[in-house]
Amino acid sequence: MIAYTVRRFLQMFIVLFGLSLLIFIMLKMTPGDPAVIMAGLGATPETIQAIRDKLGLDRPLHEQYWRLISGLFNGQIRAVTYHTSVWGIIFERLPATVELGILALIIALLVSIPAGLLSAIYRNSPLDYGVTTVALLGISTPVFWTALMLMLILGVVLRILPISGRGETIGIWSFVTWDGLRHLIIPSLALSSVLMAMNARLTRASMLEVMRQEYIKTARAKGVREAMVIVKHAFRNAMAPVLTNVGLQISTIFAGAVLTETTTAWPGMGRLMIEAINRRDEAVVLGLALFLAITAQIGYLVVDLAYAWIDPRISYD
Amino acid sequence: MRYALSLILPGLGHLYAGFYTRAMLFLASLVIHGGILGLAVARGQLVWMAHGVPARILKGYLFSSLVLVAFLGLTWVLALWDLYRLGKRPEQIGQSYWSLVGRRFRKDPKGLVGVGIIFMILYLALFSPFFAPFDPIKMDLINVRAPPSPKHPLGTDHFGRDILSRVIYGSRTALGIGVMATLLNMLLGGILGLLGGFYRGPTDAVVMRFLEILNSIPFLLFALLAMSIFGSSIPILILVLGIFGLQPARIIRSEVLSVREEDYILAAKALGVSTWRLIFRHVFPNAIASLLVTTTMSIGVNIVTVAGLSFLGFGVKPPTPDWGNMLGDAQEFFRTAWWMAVFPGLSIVVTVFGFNILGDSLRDVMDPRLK
Amino acid sequence: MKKVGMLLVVVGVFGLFAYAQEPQYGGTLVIGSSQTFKDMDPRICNDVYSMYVINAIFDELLCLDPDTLKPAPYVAKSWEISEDGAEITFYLHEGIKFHNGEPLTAEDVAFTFNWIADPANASPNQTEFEWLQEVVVIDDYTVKFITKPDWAPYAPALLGENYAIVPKDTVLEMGDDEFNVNPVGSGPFKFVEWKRGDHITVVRNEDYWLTKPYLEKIIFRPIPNLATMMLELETGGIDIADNVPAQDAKRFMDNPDLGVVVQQIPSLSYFYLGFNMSKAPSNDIRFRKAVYMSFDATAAVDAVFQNLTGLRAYGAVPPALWANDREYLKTIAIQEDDEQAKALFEELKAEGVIPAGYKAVVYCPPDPRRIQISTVVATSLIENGVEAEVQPLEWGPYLDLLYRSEEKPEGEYDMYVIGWSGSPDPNAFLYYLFTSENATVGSANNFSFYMNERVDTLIKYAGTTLDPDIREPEYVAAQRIIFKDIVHIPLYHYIETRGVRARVHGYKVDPTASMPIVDPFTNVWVEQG
Repeated sequence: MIAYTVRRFLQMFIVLFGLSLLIFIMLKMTPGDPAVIMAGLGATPETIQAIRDKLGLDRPLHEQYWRLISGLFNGQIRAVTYHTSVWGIIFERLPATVELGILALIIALLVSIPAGLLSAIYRNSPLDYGVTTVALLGISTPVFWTALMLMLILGVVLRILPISGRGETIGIWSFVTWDGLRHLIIPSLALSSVLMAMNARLTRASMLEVMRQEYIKTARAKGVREAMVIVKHAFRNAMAPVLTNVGLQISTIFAGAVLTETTTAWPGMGRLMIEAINRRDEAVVLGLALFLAITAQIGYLVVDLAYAWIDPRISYD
Repeated sequence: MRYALSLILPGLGHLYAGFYTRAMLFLASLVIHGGILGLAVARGQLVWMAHGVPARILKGYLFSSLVLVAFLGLTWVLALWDLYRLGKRPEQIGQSYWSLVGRRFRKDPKGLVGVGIIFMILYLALFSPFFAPFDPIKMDLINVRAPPSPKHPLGTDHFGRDILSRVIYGSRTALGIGVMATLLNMLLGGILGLLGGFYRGPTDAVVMRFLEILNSIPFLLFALLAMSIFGSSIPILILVLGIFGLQPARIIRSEVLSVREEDYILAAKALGVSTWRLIFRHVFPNAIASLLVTTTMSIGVNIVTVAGLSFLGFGVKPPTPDWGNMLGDAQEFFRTAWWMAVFPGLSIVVTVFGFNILGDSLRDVMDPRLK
Repeated sequence: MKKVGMLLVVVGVFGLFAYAQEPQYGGTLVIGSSQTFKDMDPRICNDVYSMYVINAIFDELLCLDPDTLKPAPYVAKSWEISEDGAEITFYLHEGIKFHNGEPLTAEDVAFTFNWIADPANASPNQTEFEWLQEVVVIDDYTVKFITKPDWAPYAPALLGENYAIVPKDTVLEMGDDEFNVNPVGSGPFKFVEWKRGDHITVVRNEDYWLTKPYLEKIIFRPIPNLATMMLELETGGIDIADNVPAQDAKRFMDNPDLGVVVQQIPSLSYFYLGFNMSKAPSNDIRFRKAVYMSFDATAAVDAVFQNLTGLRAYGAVPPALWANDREYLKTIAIQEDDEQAKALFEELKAEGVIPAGYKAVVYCPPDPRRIQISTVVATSLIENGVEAEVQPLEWGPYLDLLYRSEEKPEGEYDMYVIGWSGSPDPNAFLYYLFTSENATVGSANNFSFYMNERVDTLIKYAGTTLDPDIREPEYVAAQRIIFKDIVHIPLYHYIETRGVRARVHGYKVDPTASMPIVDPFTNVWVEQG
């Protein structure tokens, strides 16, 4: 197992390297000179050239690439349009997105797991259809739409929650203050709608699969009460794939976060990504890409390891 | 005798022969298409009848008219072919896997709802000019943001364009991009999955690594960069979405892996059956079940993703109507002209819901273990 | 007895009423901005939004009188212009201190402006100071600006001093990057924190030299999503919204119980559709005329801005400024005439001026208004037989496109919609957009490549004297030539529309799109409780 993990880490580096090259090339191909953007309308060619020199944009490509990569690795690299280091700005915005994502996930799971369970137990009943319909509606509605509707209903019509922005923070976290929590609710609810659907169906499918197994029938035959069958045997085994699948949802969570953050003015990494692309801040875009890739990779690794841990039949060595 | 009847009117022959359900199907098809034909003729939009119409509008009529005629013709042809098939081996009908699936499917309300929705949207897309009361890009600057009324059932937008017509035409980009992107997914994913599953070893390793790298690339980041580089045209959208939805690869790969070890495959190989034949005749059919399900889900996901990209400003360009860019435009008006946002939003929800519920139903219905 | 009682009550009520309208000290003001803030260093900041915050933290040498748009004393209590116009000497107030206690002297002024003007520092604002040769310190409170010999006398030079002053020693000690995120100024408010993407907080500078600001605290919140900002304004989440679209403006004006006052003022801006006259088909005046004729520009502007937030433009100089010549230019504006437009397009296609398979692309920035107007243009072209589409681009690629490149100096664009704003001087509008020397590759703003000697001479000449009576006819003549040539289709002047909650007093919207809270003319206060 250890050997497997080590191998995966090594592979991860190769993947990251390839990714960094790809993103760098794409950045260079993108129209829009960062110097021109910084200088704005009305700047003279001399000003723009001076900015280009400062940013080193006329150096040969491999030199620029090397500067970016080494800078990212030793943390020295500066985000020129943010006047701080790249990792500094990324980690500044990271807690906001993490809070958003985790709360959205918790809400989603709290709703979707019971829903999926009930749906599986009472298969093909009106309850099942109802839950399935709502779940599917959840995936079908664009998340920015849900966010706007929530803001309208909860923020304007009912006036019980603040509409946008992040609340008071203690240190880097805002969920620890009452004000912070209130600001978190609308964005997390919106984001969770996307996750609820997926997880509900996953739970349902997994539960159905488990309930068909031999040992369930055995338990029933032995006279164990139905409720006990469900809780003690089926549920626990069904949860394993569902929970492990959470790791695979990281990219979806981030994509949804980008749209949610834009609509609710939430200062997270999603908005940072859009801003950095608009400003052509190459260092930040690269840093973000690598960070996201690492996170996704670690997610997959954790999922694979979890599967192996749960199911002793699986072995990677 | 029955053939003669079916030549006159598809479905009559089936009635005569006692296949009532099928008769109904063909007759219904006739009625629907005939009705659309009537609509087109009444509005003077059948391309052979349209006069004095600008070239760009004529192009739209041409496409829809041709498709209509083709569908009508197909109804006749299919009716005749079906009669022939039924006539030949009546006892063999109804026992194959597919017939079982078909029967189960017909009983599942979820599936029927899904199919119904999809057909409706499909027809709206194919025959948009016949259904849309107005030209979707014609502006009427006097009537901006008019609420729903008999003349404009869904209201007008900030340029005075009829929203109903725009929603109808919007189905074209939604379905078009969604379906094409998914086809690309299936194609690329299928090839990769087959290669990896069948040849195993280093090929498989390469394929898996490639898939992993693809999965690690933050989709939105890549998509935004790609749009910025290549411009946000429809082919680029299809390409980007097509490359990123490669789930089918994994599915096909696992199917191939499991099938490959079966005895009959080994036997076939021993007999010298060529690799391609093996793939097509044995591996593929087994994978189709999961593929179908994934396809329908994929189309749904792609439609929502395009909406999201258009919303961010990177999708379909104005003045082409697209549900996503209609929503983006409508944002700032959603307190003062709610109809601009609600109807395109509903269209997305309904369409994607249709695909998703169909997929759900297919999954239930095609699972050989469920009784 | 009863009568006295009644009198007391009446007096008491009036007294209370009067008291309620008295400015109160204290309270927090929340300002919503439609874009995220980028820089807090005034030397490199060139976006209007970051300036909201900078104006609160720093002081400028001069400020503009909101009624006359003429320069008024601020840090500089008076100034003198030399005979030949080549030198401007400023006399500064004494006793002004920066937030860290450092005194503000001529050294700081000289340091600030010399730094901006130095091309080596790559400041985006350097273009504004091309005319500046050097700033010289005469004594602690006297500083002299020297104009370059071939530029003098430069009338607009005076307005260029509307820049904030930074503390020289502090900046040198902190370094540019650190200063940008921890600005230290001499202004009415002190910087507290910048939670990037979420808000910037500033608090009252108790030792402010000019006056005591009423407000205790200001919070600036960037809310890029317009719909969200309107929701915040409605519920009181923000007190001032820097941009209110027309339909919401109408809603607020019709429903005073929503508690939002809409303030409007014509801004110093000019938005237009430009043609690339360096290549076909835009180099043919018939094409430009046909495009102009394809759509009703006034109706389009009225529809997009709902007669509220945009004013149809007929020339480049905004009506708020002298030398705008609006009456005359209105008479030469081209009306919609689809028949003639179609005919002209046919003619041009027959002659090959419009190549076969031509598709007109109207480029525009990602601003919903401009996208809407571009859509009107594109749709009208399609209706008249020319394939067309709108291509909104982010600012980065857009500027790249317009600035062209060495390999393709004639540019890859045909038509573009863009805006321009400038200081309150006609030169700011005409010089940069229409003179030949601004048609160079790599930047400059004459994206239409308009090169007309007569116009060049007129505009240059008008810039050489300080007397408006001599300058006006030159600018008028130049504009008439430009718009007869249909270099641009003039679209609109934006009417600055801000939403202000009823609890905010003393705030007046400003034509230069800034956010004045405390300056020699303003001291905003809020009702508390």
